[in-house]
Amino acid sequence: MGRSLFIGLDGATFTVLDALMRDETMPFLRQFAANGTRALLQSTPHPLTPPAWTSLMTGRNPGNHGIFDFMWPVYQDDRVFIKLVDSRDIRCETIWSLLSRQGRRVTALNFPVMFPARPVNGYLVSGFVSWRHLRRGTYPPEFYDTLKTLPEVNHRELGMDLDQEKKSIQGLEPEEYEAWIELHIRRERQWFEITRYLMMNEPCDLTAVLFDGTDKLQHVVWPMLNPALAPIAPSPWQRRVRDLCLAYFRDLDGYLAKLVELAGPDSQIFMASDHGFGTSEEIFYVNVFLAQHGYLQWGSSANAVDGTGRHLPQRMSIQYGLIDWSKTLAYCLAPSSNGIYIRVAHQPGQPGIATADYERFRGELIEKLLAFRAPDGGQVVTRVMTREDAFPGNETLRAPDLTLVLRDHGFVSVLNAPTVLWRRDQPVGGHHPHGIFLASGPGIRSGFSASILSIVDVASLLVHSVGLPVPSDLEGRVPVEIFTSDFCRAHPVNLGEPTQPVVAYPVSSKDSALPEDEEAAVLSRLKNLGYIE
Amino acid sequence: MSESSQVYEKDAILQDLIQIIDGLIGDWEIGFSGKLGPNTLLVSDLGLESIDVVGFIVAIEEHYQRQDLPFAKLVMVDNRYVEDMSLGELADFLHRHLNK
Repeated sequence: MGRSLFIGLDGATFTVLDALMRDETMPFLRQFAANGTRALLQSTPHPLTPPAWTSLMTGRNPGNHGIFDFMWPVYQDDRVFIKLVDSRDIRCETIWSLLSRQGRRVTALNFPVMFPARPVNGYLVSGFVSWRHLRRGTYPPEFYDTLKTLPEVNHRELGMDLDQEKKSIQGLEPEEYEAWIELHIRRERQWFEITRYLMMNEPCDLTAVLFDGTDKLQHVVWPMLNPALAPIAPSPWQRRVRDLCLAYFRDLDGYLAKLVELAGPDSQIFMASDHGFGTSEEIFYVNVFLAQHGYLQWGSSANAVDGTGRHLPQRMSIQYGLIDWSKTLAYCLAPSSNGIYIRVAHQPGQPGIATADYERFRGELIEKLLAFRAPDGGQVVTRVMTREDAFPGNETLRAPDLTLVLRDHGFVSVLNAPTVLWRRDQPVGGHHPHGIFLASGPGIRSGFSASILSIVDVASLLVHSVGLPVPSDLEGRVPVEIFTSDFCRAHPVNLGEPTQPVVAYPVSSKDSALPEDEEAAVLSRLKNLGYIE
Repeated sequence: MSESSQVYEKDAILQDLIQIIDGLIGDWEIGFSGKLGPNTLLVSDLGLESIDVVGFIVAIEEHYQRQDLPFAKLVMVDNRYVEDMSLGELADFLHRHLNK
């Protein structure tokens, strides 16, 4: 088999892409899809960037790879330290490692949770990392010096600017939209230039690059990208913003075309997103719900009601002092995971429920969540997943006790508010479990729409595409239905040895109870570290 | 890289820290012209932001191949987040905990 190219499109959805293909904003992608196979791609149980991309890169569910959110608490003696997840927290082998140790050359660019960079047989540049730390997110580190010299590459813009990211999620002022979109137009060009340079000068068996502006734009300008929400009579500002978005997607289409051309006619090309996007029209204030049912007690900052009037899609917000931890049995720490943690008292006198009461307590909480109704009579929390159901595996205990699915697939808010449910003034974009999958190239069926695939299938598919046996412990399958029968006969799927265990450094116990007052300290640290508002 | 049974001398740790931080700030174009030493302050002198402190800690953990160092005890004193710390204080902290 020839070389393979994988292009990640963060948060991409056919809801937007189909419209852009129809109106000729993305003519290459339209042709690519017509000549190949397309399918919806089922994301992880909670469709979020770190767990979803890690599932795609490992072929394992979060219960095994151990990444559930952007951050996780590390328990140390009687203390807790919150840290951003990084590559050392992934408990399964990635396909970059798998291919490298079997002699295949790999390029992997801009994927999350890859910092600090691990050695590969090729090149790796981590995504979602501040530019100031990008050298340590690059393998080999010397390649950082090379990429800085490439035309049109501004290394200061390649990385993630945490302040800018927070702003985009919390909501931009109208005058900030255009600069935000222009930044992502420039960033995509830079990642394209790096990819092109490596494909031309250091061709690999698998080249993979992630373009993440798709997600960033959709979070901010969803009503102007989703055809169903497009304003009938757009204002001049809306027209300018929409035009800039179209410029972004036109550029992206051009990069896709050039990368596919560079890969050559013998290469199989795959594109996928980590999750899709949908419309969120309401906010579920989960901690308000818990307080109303007596599971959570607001603290000294209880007046910090979300009264900004903005009611933003996923405010990364919980404020120190907001919750009285001595009287709280269940809470949501951060909205990104849509998770509820149940406090279990491991010793007499600690706040929390008794260990023996855990199942009953959890069952009661699930019932109440599912029973909650909106003023329109609709069920708001459509599904409550226990951690062992949603995330089976060796790392299950790292997950929140419960993970909520809302009827609009939105993120919860963790703030205090006058009501449990708030209807947004304007709909916003939020993550949806159905991402995209596209494939084209030798042996791939043309004009074929496959049934929905799983995000863990992609790892198996990429391993098979470069001609290696698929490790027996990958949880996905090679979706052979996307191949022609001739190709399947010539290239049967072979199962191989399981992936190799990941060598971990000594870590503090993750089973320790969260001591009294420490949860408050966690929030304080998060706030001070700038991870949450 | 160091082995877990190794005894870590404070001066050697400080030199490790200087080497690590020098490798980090070398890319930052921050215009620091002083000499890195035990009294160098991470925030005031080197301009580290919170995310940079996280990156520095990751680099330290990588260097010593440990993820169990109780940095919470260093950055939180009396449940307050410390505003700054020197390389010497960091070396003292590592000297205490690497040799446990």
